[in-house]
Amino acid sequence: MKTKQFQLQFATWLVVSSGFLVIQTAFLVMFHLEKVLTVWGQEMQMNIYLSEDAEGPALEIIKSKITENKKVSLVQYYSKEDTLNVFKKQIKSYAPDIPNDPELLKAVQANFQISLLPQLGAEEILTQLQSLAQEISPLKGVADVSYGQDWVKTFSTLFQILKNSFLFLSAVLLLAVFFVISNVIRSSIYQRRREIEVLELVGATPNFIRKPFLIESLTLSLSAFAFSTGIAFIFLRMVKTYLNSSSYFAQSAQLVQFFSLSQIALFALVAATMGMLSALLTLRKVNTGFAAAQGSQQAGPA
Amino acid sequence: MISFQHLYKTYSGNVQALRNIDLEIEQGEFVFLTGPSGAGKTTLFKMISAFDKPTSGQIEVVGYNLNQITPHRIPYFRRKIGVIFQDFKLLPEKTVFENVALPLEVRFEKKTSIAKKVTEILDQVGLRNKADQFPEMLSGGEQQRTAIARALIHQPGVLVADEPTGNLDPDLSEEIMDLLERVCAQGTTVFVATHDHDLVRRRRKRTIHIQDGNLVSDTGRPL
Repeated sequence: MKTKQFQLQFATWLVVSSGFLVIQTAFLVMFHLEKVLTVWGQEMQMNIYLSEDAEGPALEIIKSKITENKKVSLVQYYSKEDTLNVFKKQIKSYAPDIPNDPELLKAVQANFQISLLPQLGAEEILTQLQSLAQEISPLKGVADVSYGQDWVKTFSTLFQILKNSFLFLSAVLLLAVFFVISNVIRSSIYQRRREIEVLELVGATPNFIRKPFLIESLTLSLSAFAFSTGIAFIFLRMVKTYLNSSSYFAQSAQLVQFFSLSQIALFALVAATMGMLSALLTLRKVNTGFAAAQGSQQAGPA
Repeated sequence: MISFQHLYKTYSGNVQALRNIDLEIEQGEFVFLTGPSGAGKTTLFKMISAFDKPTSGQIEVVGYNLNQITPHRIPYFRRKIGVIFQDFKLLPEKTVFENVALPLEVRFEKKTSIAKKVTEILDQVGLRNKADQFPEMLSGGEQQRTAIARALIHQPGVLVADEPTGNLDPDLSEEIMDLLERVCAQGTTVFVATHDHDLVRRRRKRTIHIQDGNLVSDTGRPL
């Protein structure tokens, strides 16, 4: 019987560890996707293309509208000539004849280049750029506003879908872990029912009877969490080593980080709470008296 | 010490386990409860030890009104009584010493105090030399004496014994009854349910007989 109980406990521990590992991996993926989005957001700029009539007061109004936004960190004005020079420099090595094309000056537009404060998160930067674009677009002299909104929106939507999926998966896994722990505690109670009955007989309080089961549940959930955290850490180190060794991804390796200590503490708290809660709910029967419950099962009062 | 007034117990299916039981047992009394199987003896004992509640009527044991007792108070009530069973209810993975120490451990008594009290009680029941043995290594009589020691270690006001000699041969039964009489002589109320009419006759104690849930005779009091 004891061997069977140990086997059940070990199998439960493995299942709980695997559940925690999947949850931690999902959170790690989520954190890193968010980091990528943040880096992209920090590099995001807005270009306000001006029409031919954007001169004098119209230009001033546009500029003041931009600068009065407190989240704008940098505003640079490029006249048609400046823009053309920059373009010429960029294109020269690829197509040497194009910079001399007289029609080119007609094709380029004067514009403002705007950057937002880098400490804003990616989602905040996107939201701010969207609202700024809505304010600027109707102004006289503004031909077009562009900030790479399409791909950012696509990535952001994809990220949201992934985030929600991971959260859903984590919730389902936590629930599964909850029931698995509950099951092992139920089995443990069944195995020790005689001991519980005797303890009740000699005047043990429900708390006294519950204590060993709570400790068992806490030990199970916390040791499984510690094991899964260790595995997740090793896995992340391997990914980082791989990225470092690749010349293409070497820079991305800087972004790879494990959970902070406070995050680990928070996860551990969740794991411990879940283990305790699972045991407490399973132990409700003991609250009202295990032996008494057994008695009433044999012959319930009318 | 133990008082039943108009006690009824009905189980589902309209099974009447106890009917209008009126009973008073004073402190220090030794009382036998006799009756055939299914007469209601175990039901009565379940109620005395707060493992069941009556359908109607009043029950009071060692000053606790068991009709109104809350689940929270039940463990504290059980610390005032001692209960022994036919099947001893010893924990096989614990030694005699550990089994006997249980009632004190649940009260968080100090280890030195527990050791002293357990040694004393094991002396009284003649099991001091068996303290480190496990129940499976003991004879039936020794197991029952261990259960008695466990029931007495916290000096309860009432000792309730449900067929304590049911699994023992006549000699061991007499030995256990002698022990229970000694306990009673020290002031503890002893209430023993038994099938063994010879044993009851020999002891000449107050005897209550129940049949089909009815109290049919009480040698101590006129019905």
